[in-house]
Amino acid sequence: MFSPEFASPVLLSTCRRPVDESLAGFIDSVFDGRPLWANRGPVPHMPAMNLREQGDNLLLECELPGVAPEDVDLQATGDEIRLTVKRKDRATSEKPSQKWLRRERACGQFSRSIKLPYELDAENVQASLQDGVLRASMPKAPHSRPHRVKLLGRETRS
Amino acid sequence: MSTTSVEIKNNRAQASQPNVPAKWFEPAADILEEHDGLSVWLDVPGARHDDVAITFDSGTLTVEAPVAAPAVRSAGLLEEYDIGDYRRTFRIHAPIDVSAISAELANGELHIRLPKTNAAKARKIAVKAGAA
Repeated sequence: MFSPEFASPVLLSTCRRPVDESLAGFIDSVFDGRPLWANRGPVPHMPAMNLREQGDNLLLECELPGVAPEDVDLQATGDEIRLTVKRKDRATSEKPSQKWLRRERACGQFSRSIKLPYELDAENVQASLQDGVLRASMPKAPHSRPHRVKLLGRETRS
Repeated sequence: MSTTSVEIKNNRAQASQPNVPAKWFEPAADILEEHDGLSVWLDVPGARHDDVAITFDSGTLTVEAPVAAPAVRSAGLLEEYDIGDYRRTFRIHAPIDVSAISAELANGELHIRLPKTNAAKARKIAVKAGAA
């Protein structure tokens, strides 16, 4: 009934390819091949984020065009960071004399939290929003930083 | 595998002309048509005011904005977007008053106003009552 070839990974991957291609074609047809800001993140309508380590600091970058500083809420608690953003002034309606020819930019609210492999020094997190890019420098908690272990040397013989 | 190729197609337009930078992105745009002109909004996070170049030549609107590569290059824990220059071209069919085009950049959001020429503006025509 259930032949071994059917279950072989090679055959499964051949089956998957047309499905993937038709899905890609479907996505292209829906979005018209246009670059969507939303598509740069892992989930639609969620801005993309970059996280880098620099020494004992963790640097976060997030593109938030059109967002005012008061609409950004960044919280660091222990080993978790939470970013909540409201984008309020993007027009969504049209008057009878107006017509939207293109609507590609994301709008609305989103919230996202990221679990980190270590704890942060939440008191000393610094963040700025400039030219539509959020940049935050988050130092690791002292107990999460690497600690250099001194090796005990052998006693020198006289 | 295929998902990656979709992402590249949508977000990462590769350069085909020699004068175009190696890595560039087409910024997302909203375009609103009103009776007296067009408004174009583009998301160009990271672009600076002095670096944005807007040209309008025989019905083609081109927006270019270089973005400096990050100074710190270290191992990324999470890399969801790449940084590169912005570049996008629009074909505008409405007759535009080129001398009156204006643009402003705030919080990584570029707003370009393209007023229509007087001849192209929608006008309400009053109907007079004729003699009975």
